[in-house]
Amino acid sequence: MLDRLADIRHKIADFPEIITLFTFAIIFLFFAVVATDTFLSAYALSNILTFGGITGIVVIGIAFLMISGEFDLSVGSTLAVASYVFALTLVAGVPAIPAMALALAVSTFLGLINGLIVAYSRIPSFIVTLGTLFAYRGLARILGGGTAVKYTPADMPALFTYLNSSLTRINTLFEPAGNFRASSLWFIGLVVVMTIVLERTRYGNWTFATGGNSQAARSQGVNVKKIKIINFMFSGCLAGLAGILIFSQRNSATPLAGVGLELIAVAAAVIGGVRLTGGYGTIIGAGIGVLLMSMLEQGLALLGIPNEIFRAVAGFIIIITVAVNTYLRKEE
Amino acid sequence: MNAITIADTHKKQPFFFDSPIIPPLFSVLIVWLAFWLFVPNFGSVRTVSGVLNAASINAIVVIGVTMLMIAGEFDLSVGAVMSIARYIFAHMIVGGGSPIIAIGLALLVSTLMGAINGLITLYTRLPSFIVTLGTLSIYRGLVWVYSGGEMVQTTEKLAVYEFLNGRLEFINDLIRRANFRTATVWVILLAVIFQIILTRTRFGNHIFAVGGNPQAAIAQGVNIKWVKIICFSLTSALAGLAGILTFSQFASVFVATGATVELTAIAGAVVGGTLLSGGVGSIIGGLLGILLIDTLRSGVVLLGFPSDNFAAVVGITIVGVALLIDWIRGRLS
Repeated sequence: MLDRLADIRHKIADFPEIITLFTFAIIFLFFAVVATDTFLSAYALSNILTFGGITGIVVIGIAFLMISGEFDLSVGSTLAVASYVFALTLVAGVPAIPAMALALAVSTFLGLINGLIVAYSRIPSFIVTLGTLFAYRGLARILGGGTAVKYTPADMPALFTYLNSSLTRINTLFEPAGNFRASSLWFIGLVVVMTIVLERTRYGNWTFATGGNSQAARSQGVNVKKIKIINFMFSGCLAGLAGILIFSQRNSATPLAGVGLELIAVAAAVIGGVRLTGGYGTIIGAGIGVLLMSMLEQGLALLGIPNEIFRAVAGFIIIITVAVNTYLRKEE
Repeated sequence: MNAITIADTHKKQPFFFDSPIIPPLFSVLIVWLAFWLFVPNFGSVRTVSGVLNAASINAIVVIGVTMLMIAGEFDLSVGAVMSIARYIFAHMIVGGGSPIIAIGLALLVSTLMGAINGLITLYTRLPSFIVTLGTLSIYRGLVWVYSGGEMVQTTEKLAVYEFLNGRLEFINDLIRRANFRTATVWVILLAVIFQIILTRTRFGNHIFAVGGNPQAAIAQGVNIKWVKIICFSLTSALAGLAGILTFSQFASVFVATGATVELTAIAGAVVGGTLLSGGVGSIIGGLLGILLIDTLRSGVVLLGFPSDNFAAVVGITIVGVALLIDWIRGRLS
């Protein structure tokens, strides 16, 4: 009897995404029953995809990094820095595309700093990025002078429509109108691209190896330091992209942008099956995880429950999910 | 491997240079000297006592955090615990509750939260920073629910506030414009007590063992689970005390308090020579680390930089010092 249980446990452990989908279904059903009218509308459901999509872009980067065995708690602050850089260069009159390139370059550079410190010292990544979380937040404050930066030109740059405009043709199909935005397309596209990179390229293989057993990887000739540094740069870059997308929707960069993002991102990755210790995970799983978190946030907001409770639930989810996954993988 | 000769064993290293306190002590003195020279008004008693007051609160937290780090674990939820304790104390005492019950309840709840952190960490075998990242948000949610999002503020001056964190009149009368508070006394007292526990009792020895070499500790019969749970509980209890003292000083509490405390505490411990990998550390060092960080903060403010960048300074300090220590250890080994 216990053998059968162990068998089932191990089968599930091989596909933790089963738990993710199961939990997703349960939460969906819960809100569908409890808040039927508001939750099951095109507006609410599209919001899940829209807001989840932006967080999701950040989560893709974090998941990739976690698979290679490291954490980045500074993504929220990097997002803020990127949105300020984007805003300030636009206000200074620089055209949209170079401004975006600059913002992405800056956020990638912030990721590079994280990567270099982690790769070349023995300091654990969560300590380094805990420090840079605050350091980069200070940088964002300095850039913005502590206030929001708004950009209100006569015509919005064409780039903004490609970045994060409202998909009105789809939205008007529904009553009340949906809220699909281009950012969801970016999210889906990036999930596909990064999944291919992770599972079909040698680089992805190296990433798994680095996270799973870095000694073995190193002895196989994998340049572990370089992989980690590059993955930190991905994480920073994607966080920057998210900041740019948010800005092109709201046209303002605020000092509190991205606060608390790291918690949600780790929760999404973990519930999506990415292993905390590294070496296992899928980008698709992380994508489902972020949609799950976004659905939770939307649902709780529709029920009038304050955001702090959502964050408490996110913390709870991290602990429970990792504990469950650890139990499932336990050898008898 | 160098053979150790009899001559070597007779050579006594001066205690001074072996002591882990030297780097942070040195740094604090240098920073103070630099600030005294370059920052306007820094040398005044008012400023120094101001720095000590702010540092006292953080120092109480760092005592616990240092001990926990020596045992090899982290606690990112101390800020939230501080917040809850502050609210509980405020609710119990405003309007005439018994101070003993107020303090007792606040401390009890804090200790419980620490024990929960410890239990979850030990029984799920998750890294403590992940567990406390999770409990941080759970406890913050609790703060929100318990407080209803409301601020508590009071203008009545209760005697217990003066006892906990009032102005030290006899010193303040001696030195003109001094502004020392009783919290500093509590810090010194607690630091001495815990330093003695850490370095002169078997329990303290166990803490070092658990963090430095868990296998050896188990082999020696140390009950690792108990040691860690006690350390987690102590950390949160001290955080709760810090929250009570903060309320006594400001007579107010709002939902967002204690936001950067966990980082400041870890930074203070690291600056003070506590290793991130555990097994090494000192409470006095941690106090010096906090003193350094709060001195930097005052300096930053007095030099005219916007004070909300203080957190960035702490962040840079923690990474910078950790890097420096790592580099030094690399060179020495």
